[in-house]
Amino acid sequence: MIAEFSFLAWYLGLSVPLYWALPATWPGLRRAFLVVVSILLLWMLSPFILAVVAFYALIVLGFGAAISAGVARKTLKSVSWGVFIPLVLVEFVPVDLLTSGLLGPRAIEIAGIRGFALLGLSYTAIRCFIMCRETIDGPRPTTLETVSAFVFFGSFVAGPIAGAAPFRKPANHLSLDDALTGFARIGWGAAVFLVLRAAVAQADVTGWIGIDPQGTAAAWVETYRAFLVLYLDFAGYTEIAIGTALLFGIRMPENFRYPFLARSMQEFWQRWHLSLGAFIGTYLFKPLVRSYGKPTVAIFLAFVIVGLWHRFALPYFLWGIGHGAGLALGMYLRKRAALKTPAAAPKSPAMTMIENGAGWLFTMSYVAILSRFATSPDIGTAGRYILSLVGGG
Amino acid sequence: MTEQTLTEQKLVKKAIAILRAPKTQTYALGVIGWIIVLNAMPFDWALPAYAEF
Repeated sequence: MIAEFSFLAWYLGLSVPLYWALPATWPGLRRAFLVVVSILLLWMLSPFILAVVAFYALIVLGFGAAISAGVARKTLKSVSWGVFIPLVLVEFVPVDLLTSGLLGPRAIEIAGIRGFALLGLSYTAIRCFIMCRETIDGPRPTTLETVSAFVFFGSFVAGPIAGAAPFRKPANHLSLDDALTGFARIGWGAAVFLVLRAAVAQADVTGWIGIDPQGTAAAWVETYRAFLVLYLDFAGYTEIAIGTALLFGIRMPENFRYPFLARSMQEFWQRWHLSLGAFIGTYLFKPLVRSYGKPTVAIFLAFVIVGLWHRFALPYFLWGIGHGAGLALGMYLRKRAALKTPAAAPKSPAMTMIENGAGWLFTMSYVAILSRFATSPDIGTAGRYILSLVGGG
Repeated sequence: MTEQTLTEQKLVKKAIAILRAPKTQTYALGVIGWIIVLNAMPFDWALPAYAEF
């Protein structure tokens, strides 16, 4: 892992000065350079992935052509959901195709190229959807903005989720503040992603630490440890992605806001994977509320869909049901409590502390269990894991 | 209070503001992060290790 990071560091160290050395008088030149270096890296990883990305980019351009041809926006909005259909097929992609690039055989040793590549494709599909919607609702991204957003190597694998917006107006010059912040965030992200995560995971690289047969207590400890590993993995990667983007004058959205402080499911999703939360709010929750009228139903359905977006498999479907049900129940209980309790009734500090503590413990345990359940290799293992938590493993 | 004490107080306030600023925390984490990463890196981490590519 560390060795692969040194490769990225070299790649970045060479491409950043070259990027800023290019004349700013022709704005497209720098972006074109970034596209070229990103495509080169993707090609080295897997030409197959690059072909899939090209396919998705063509879909966005096709939407642009359809708008120009006068196709109804409402029809195009419905059709845009179709970009997620190919994700059903990626489960069947032979691993050889994913490792056919120059870096492929090496990458499979370090992180499991399959998971890495599949994650990249899930993010590619969601980027495609957002850019299709940007094309329909405006402002319509240019071809270069579209391609930049698809291939930018900093955020390719796991976001933060964004359409073409961050690539619309990259900075004209690299400010000292951006350079220092970018460099610092890459450093901290790399330490979290490569060193701290490995220390907590004890050299496990997949995030699935395996079922510990030594009893219920051990199963619970492993649950929290696996969730911490997931956070270090995801947050560390995001730090590197945001820092890398900053070095190119691109501002990506933030993705985390101290998720381990969350005291409810609602608060958890206001702190965890913020860019996905924004996507859910804009494209799933609000339209579903408009369709069904009930926010509880809308949030439940939105998370079932998001579960399947993560991976088209039964454990993730159940993950979506778990999160959706938790959020819907929280929403219902809050509404009921607001109706019953007079607004002015103050709570004692001790009561507030107990409520917050219980809420925190429940939220952390619930999301950790769901996360570990969803990342199980198969539904049988996931079931045995749940049993192990209640002493039946 | 003397003028010197006032200046010192201002400097202390400024230093505290800088230390508490989110930017300072980002930079500090960055320095710590790079130390951890460079410490974990093998000595042969330069380009020749990738000659096989």
